[in-house]
Amino acid sequence: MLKYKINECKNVQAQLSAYFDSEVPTWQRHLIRRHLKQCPDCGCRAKVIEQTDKLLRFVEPVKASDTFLSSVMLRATTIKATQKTHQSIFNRLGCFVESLQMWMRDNIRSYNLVYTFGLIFCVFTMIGVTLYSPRIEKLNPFTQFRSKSSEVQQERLISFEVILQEEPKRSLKIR
Amino acid sequence: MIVSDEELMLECRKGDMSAFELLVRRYQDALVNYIYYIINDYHRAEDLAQETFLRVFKSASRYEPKASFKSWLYTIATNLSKNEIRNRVRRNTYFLEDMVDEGEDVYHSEFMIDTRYQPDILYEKKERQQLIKKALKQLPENQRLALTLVTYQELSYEEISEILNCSIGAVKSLIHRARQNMKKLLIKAGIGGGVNVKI
Repeated sequence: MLKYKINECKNVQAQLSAYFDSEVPTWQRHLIRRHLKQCPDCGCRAKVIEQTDKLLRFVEPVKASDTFLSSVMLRATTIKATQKTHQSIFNRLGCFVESLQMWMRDNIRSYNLVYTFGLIFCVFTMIGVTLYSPRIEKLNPFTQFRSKSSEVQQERLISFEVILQEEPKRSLKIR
Repeated sequence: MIVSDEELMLECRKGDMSAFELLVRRYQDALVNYIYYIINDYHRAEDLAQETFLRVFKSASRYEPKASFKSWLYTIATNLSKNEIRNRVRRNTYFLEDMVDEGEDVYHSEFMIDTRYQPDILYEKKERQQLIKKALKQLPENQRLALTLVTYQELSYEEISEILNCSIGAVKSLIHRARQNMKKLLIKAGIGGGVNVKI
């Protein structure tokens, strides 16, 4: 009986720190609590742990200085700027694809590469068509004539505008 | 609604600086405090905490929310602090706080300006804090790390096991031994003798 009790005490004492930090399962917690009520020696050891912890918490924590956040953010911004300049086109494209995939995963709930590349192709085609409209003039044999006629029209418009602004009465007479 | 650290980190990965700022705000005090307890130099602790955050920022693009952000952050901080201690030993250099006499606080002298306390009570409190810090410093490195993480950072045993790269059982025994040693050291220093048990 005594041997059994010693073994139980040993087991409880090994678990006391974990018990104090609430890191033991509930069933074990009940057993330890019951044992601590019955065994004065183990109860005393539990008190020692509690007291040590209290003493440790007696030390006032230090805080970061007021300039800490600003200096971290400043350094992070510098790093971000250098990372951007050093990034190659392939890296940037990779990042773009990755972020697009993330966006698609969040919004469209599809994580398929085919969808991603399809979407990228569509977006780039749209951008390309908008910025660099297809030059049909080059393909058409009558482009020179057309361009000339457009130039003449522009000249007429400009002269008309100038006359209107400088001498509106004369322009009216001409008409 | 409180946004989790992992969500903030994902935002940071997309290039959102405000998410990173929020993370720094959340952990700046805790991290400086943690590193300060390990290396015992306030200014160097601030430098290392800054370095930790910058490392997090640099590797944000590679971040995957598999493990908890907190344990990742503390792992980086722990490794940097361990390196610092190793370098200090190699160079055979000492920090200013190690060389100052007991009871003298070089960085927190503004604490003395506070007139709400009686000077003798304040002195006693300060001296006690110094003794506790000194006792903590005497613990073996791994025990000190585990005890600091559980007491001051209030991390779970699982998180500590991730940070220290060991099993939960090892963390349990580390903390248990650390508390036992701490009690012995505190009794030796003349404090914490309220309950005397042969450990």
